Amino acid sequence: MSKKVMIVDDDKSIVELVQIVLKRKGYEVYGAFGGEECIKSIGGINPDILIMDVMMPDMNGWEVLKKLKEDGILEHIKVIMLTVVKEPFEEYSDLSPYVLDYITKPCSNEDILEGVKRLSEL
Amino acid sequence: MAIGTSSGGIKAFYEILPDFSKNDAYAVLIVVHMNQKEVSDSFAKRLNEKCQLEVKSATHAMTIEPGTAYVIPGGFHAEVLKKGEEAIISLHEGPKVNFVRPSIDVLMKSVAEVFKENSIGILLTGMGMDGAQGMKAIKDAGGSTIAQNKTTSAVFSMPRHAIELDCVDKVLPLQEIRDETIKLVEEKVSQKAKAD
Repeated sequence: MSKKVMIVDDDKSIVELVQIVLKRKGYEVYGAFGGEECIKSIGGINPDILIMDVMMPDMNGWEVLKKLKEDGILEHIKVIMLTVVKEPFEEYSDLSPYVLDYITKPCSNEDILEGVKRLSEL
Repeated sequence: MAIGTSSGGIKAFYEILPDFSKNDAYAVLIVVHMNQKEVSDSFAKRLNEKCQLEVKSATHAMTIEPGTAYVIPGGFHAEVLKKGEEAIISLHEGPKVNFVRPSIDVLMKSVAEVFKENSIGILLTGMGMDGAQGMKAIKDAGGSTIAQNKTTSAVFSMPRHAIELDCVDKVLPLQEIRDETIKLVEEKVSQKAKAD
């Protein structure tokens, strides 16, 4: 069965590009154009892997993860964070066991594919 | 030898551990912050396929054998205990430490207590401050410590906290950690042989 991947980014072009790239490799891919949309739709999707941008205008990616953790949705999801910052705020340290991969922007399609492949094998 | 990591650590392990030779001089204990045992078990299986060392998921009361690497299961703390001439791994579900279980600090402090000057602590990329106190315990016990540098770390928080505690012997790029570790193992084996 193909793995379900959800990509969350306020930049529509990134969401659409990642969807195309991952679909070509056989993944079932869903997109959300921001944190609130992710929170609304993730329950019905139940992805195996969540690719989360950090800097989004409605909610930052860490706050989205915090909310998903509180709601008990994060427990079986492996997360890849997309960010430009190498040191997230200490207040998010409890999210560390969920964020198994961390990709620094700017990144290539190959970086994202490799990250998804690594986590889909676990 | 204890190696700890969190975010970005899976990739880091796939890059360095396959080059560690199967060597009777050391065993490797691995903590990656994961909350699910199923995920850490899969990680151990993947690592085993890639490595010369035998890589196993640690189980409670397992004896530590040289030439073997043990992945601590998600959701459990691990401590090394001395049982006669052997060292064993004790797993437990005590309170989270630094918001995580397994905690690198918990493992490294026990490694320092049992293996003293023969212990090596390596702290790779990761979020938060877990591992810094464990590295300090290893350093205080006369062991050796290495932290991954900022350039090659996906997340630098964990190595930075250890560096700020002034308990890190060397800060190295990921690619150089393997060679430095092998050198350290050789030095410790030779020192131990002289002492015996």
